[in-house]
Amino acid sequence: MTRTMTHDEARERLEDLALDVVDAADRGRLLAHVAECAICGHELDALQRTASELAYAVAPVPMAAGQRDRVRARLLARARADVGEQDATDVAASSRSAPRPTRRARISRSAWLAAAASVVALVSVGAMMQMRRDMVAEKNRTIAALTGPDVAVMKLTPAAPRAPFGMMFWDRSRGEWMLVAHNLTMPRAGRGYQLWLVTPRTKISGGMFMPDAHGDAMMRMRYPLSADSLAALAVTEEPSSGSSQPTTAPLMVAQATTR
Amino acid sequence: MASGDERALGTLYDRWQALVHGAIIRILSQPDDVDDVVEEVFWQAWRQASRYEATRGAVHTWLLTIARSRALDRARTLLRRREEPLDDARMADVEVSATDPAADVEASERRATVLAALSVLPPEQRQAIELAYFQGLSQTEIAERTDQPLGTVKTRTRLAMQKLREQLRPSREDLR
Repeated sequence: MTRTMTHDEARERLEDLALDVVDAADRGRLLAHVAECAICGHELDALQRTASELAYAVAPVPMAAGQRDRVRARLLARARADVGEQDATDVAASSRSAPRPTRRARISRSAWLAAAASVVALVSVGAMMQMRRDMVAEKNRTIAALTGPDVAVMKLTPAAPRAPFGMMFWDRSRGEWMLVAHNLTMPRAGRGYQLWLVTPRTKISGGMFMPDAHGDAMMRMRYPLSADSLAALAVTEEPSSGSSQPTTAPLMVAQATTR
Repeated sequence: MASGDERALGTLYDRWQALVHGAIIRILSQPDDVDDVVEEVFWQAWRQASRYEATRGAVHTWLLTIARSRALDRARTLLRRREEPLDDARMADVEVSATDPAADVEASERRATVLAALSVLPPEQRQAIELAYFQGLSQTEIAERTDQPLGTVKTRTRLAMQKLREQLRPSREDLR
């Protein structure tokens, strides 16, 4: 069993924790102490504010015009689609005379709609087309991406009833990945969930994500990987800044499939 | 933006893209990676706008925190994929004398304050902070990189953070 960290031991490492340079083995013990110690909690808060100031050491560098406009266009298109999803959800909600949901709830419901659409799309192209007519532009784009000719679908299975589960949609030709997960508990402060792409040689971080208040999460990323390189997928709980390799047992795993 | 107005996102992007971009290219070098991470930083801000707490810091501080996290995440992924060390060319010292094209006065002033605070650190303490903050190296990795005992690296880091905290305290308190 891991020994508890004393106050003096923890105090000596708070600067490292604020800079996020603590090795994984110590991080958990440190955070456990900070959660119980108001003095260290206050100290860590102040040190993290100091660390956040360090980013100002870098000079602002305007993006080239074409680069700036390209990223701006992509960003606003995603935002418009995001708002569109919420609006579509609002219409559905109001038609049922339901109370107007909060923005957080609307986002969550949008995520559920997208997830539901994704699963149905795997079952029936006809059903998918009907659904596409009802969805706004971003969802159309998402569904199309999920059902492309080179999309592999992997189910991340739960280890026990009520345990987390999910689906991964991997468009191999585009190098685009979309994970939809459910039944996730909210991680402790300072921690989150990390996706791993497992190859025969290494485990590649797919990035961090957090569930919403309902335990649902949807995550998209872009990462080129040859179709025969993926052996499995896994999700572990890690420090919110991410780990270089998994440090906890997987909550969900999936063996790679070609379809 | 928390109410879902995408025009606010455009305004936020126009105002702070240079600052975020500068932070990201300090860590990443490939244009495609940089573009992706800039987009992801503002997208995360859009999705998490309701979580932003003005009392905990200025919005550009929040954006920079996201930018560092996302850029390091991408850098770690690329590093593992390429199985080669981080580019030492990107580990040059902070350019204390560099001109500042920032349009925002507050960000410019804070940059000047941070650079001044870093400039008075002993070189070895400054190096430890830079390797930790901008390269995301653990203390063990810093010890290997600098060929110093781990205990020495820990001491340098701790002393540097204590000094920076004292130096930067006034600028943080100005915000309140």
